[in-house]
Amino acid sequence: MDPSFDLPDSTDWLATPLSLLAPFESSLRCQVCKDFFDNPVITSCSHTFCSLCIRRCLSAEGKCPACRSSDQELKLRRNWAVQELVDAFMTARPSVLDLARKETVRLSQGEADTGKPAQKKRKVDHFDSEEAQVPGTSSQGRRTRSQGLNSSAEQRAAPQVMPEIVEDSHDDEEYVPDGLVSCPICYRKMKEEAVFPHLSVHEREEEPAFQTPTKPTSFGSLQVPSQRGFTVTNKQPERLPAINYSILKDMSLRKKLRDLGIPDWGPRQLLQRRHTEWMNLWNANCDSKNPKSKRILLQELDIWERTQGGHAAMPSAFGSSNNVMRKDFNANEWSTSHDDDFRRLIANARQKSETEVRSTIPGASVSSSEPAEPQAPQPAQQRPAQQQPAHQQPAHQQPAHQQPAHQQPAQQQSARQQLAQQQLAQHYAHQQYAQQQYAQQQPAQQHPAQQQPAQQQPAQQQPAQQQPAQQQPAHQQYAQQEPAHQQSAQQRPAQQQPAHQQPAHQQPAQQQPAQLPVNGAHVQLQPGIDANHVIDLS
Amino acid sequence: MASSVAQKRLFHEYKNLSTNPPEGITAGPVTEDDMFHWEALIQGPEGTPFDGGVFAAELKFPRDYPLSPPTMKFIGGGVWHPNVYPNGTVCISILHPPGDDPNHYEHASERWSPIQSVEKILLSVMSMLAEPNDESPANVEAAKMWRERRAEYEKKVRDEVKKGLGL
Amino acid sequence: MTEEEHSLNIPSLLTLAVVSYFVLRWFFKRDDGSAGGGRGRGRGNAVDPAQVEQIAQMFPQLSTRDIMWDLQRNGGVLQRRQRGSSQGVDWKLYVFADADKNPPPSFQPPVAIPSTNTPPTQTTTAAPALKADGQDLISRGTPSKTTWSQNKEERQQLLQKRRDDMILAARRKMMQKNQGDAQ
Repeated sequence: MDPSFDLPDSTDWLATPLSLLAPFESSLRCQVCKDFFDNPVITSCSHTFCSLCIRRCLSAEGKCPACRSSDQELKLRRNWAVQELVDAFMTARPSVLDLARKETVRLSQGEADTGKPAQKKRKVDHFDSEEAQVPGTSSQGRRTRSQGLNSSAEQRAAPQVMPEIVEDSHDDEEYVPDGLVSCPICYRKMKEEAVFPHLSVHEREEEPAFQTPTKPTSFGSLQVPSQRGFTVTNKQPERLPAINYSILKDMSLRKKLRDLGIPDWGPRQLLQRRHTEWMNLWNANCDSKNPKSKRILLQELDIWERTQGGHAAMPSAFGSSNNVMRKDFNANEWSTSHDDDFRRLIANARQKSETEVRSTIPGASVSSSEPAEPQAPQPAQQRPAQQQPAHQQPAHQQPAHQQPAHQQPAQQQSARQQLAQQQLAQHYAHQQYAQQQYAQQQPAQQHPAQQQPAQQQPAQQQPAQQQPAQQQPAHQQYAQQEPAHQQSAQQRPAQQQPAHQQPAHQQPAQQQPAQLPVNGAHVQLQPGIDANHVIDLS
Repeated sequence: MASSVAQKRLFHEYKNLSTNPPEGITAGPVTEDDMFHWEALIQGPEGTPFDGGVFAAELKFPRDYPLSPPTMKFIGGGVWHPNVYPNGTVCISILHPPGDDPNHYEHASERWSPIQSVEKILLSVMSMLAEPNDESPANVEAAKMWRERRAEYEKKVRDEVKKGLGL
Repeated sequence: MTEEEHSLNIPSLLTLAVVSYFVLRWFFKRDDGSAGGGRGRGRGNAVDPAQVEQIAQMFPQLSTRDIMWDLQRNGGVLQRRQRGSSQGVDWKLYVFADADKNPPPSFQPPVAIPSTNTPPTQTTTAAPALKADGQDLISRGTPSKTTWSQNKEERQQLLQKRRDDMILAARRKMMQKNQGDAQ
């Protein structure tokens, strides 16, 4: 994942003056996936979830996740009102959050001396015309203008409650609370004579509005890209019926999958799970205002295949996690088998990111900025052991494909890895199973170069090395580690914030983190107000 | 790397637990490269023999999280408690999916559901430390001691807490 | 009854709106005014002894001379960051905008060390208390408040810090309790 990876979350509001929006946003998010409602549907027990989330839950349990009353997919009904709420909020969110964050800065920094007179004037402008355009339902040109507002004017407006939209037209400048009527489409209040001109706006908007993507793939930008190319227009795809798998033979199930155009390989359990997932994806898509093409659904199925399906891990080890295997589900075995796969993914990701990391974070500064803490430079091969304690990972189960990550030549050891290992070493200093390795490897840690031979050690030896550590009494661990802890606490600021190692481009200009000289080193304080940095995960 | 619903959801939970942590709980992934493996610290609830202690546990999440619950296991020293297996694995109803009830004692409403969360699990475990569930002991020895020799149980727990802190 | 209904009519609503607008404006003005005033004082190249003392209390490991140097280098500008915490307790962190150099030997504190002399009682009482913890404001305040970063590595460090703090705090408490029991 990108080092600056972050996801927008309801907690983004907590650090701003608009912290009360956190519960509001939270209520616009699905309780299952914690993302904004995507094609919200309402159950017969009146709980709302994303269509796909509740379908997955129902095919696994047959019960509403909120109240556990039994429900059926057939009884799900679309919840347009929630969809509109979410769409509108998502459109407004980036600019409102931006305002709120700027206001946070402004409140803490005080008003710029030069800004005062100009701001007053702009504020008047703001009331006159601009505020009416804050919600994103108006046309694109206005959005741009609203976004282009001088930042100080935006800051001013942030702590105030967003005013109700009174009029849609620039000509209507008087505020007349009485005699307003609602637009029959968007329910905005406006003067009676403005309604008909306003309706034509909706006519123009109607097409693009229905092209709005339902997932926040373009989150963070005000402009919503059209997905017209992928859209099946004017034709609701037919829903897929549930299958009683028990009456189908393997061959006919395979044929069914082929007919549906989805992969038909794998054991029967996988076939059933794949079909269920496809059915859920397909039927959830039928709930969309703006259905995706089959090609996109197939891509989503492929993601499922890679994360939970046949490409995720050894299929035999976990079979079905939804229906059949649930009773005798062996969590340990399951996570063991998955861990292998995931470590392979990590290894791939790490290799990929190394070049980039090495160019931005000089390895020398990482190790040199580290005080002489005994356990700091931990060799690379401790890492898998930490992710998977030895007692759960028998040595013989380590597949060969994990080796490359740990046997990389010394010069490929990226600074980031070293940093992460140092953190992990500290992190585990108080735990039993780190102790033994630490003791064994301490002599080799005097100089980074001496670690290299150790890194060539086959990974299979790791669990064996760690076994004795588990038997060591806990109090010894703490007792021995305590000096290191104390030391790290005192020197914490220097270690914790490797200010110089941050790539400059990650810090937006106006948010240059401040630096403090502490213990001769410099501490970087993250303002925590960076612009909403979103990366699409898929 | 293809990301799943589970990874995103876990990231949300991580962010939430970091920005708005409940009293006495620290939790997050061991490394963000593997969102399916977390580590949590839980403070011993006040007014119980666990008071003053800090207990480390690892949480392992299945790929179909939140459909299936994670597993939780205390590490770095056993927790002497009727509902904690001698190897540290926590046995508590919120960690069991509704279909899976070998003991037939748990109310379905207390069990795992996709709208439960790491935070709720950790809070439940905190309250479990304060009030053991005697009906299905994971550690029979501890359950017996808790039932019949409470003073001894409490002393043993207090000693373990001190040991766990290296004192 | 009709009069009461009238009292809720447009003119009164407008009056209310105007009044509240001015109240809000006054409120924010006041806020800004005080902040700006503090800064204005700093601008005058004279380091405010109160500021120096405050920072010295927060960062006991810094010498008064260093603090003055940084204050003067930055034109006395301190970035005041205000963060709301989840517990609803606001705290303020005074941060040097740009401090990366130690004072040169030639640097003479503009104020004749009044900040170390005038409030000796306060600094001597506050500093040892902090040093007993071995922590300054950053290590005390940061972990529980600034708990999220947009950068992955920093997040990891923040989490690690919170974990360490939790264990250390529990240890310290337990040791104190043990000492109390022993006595």
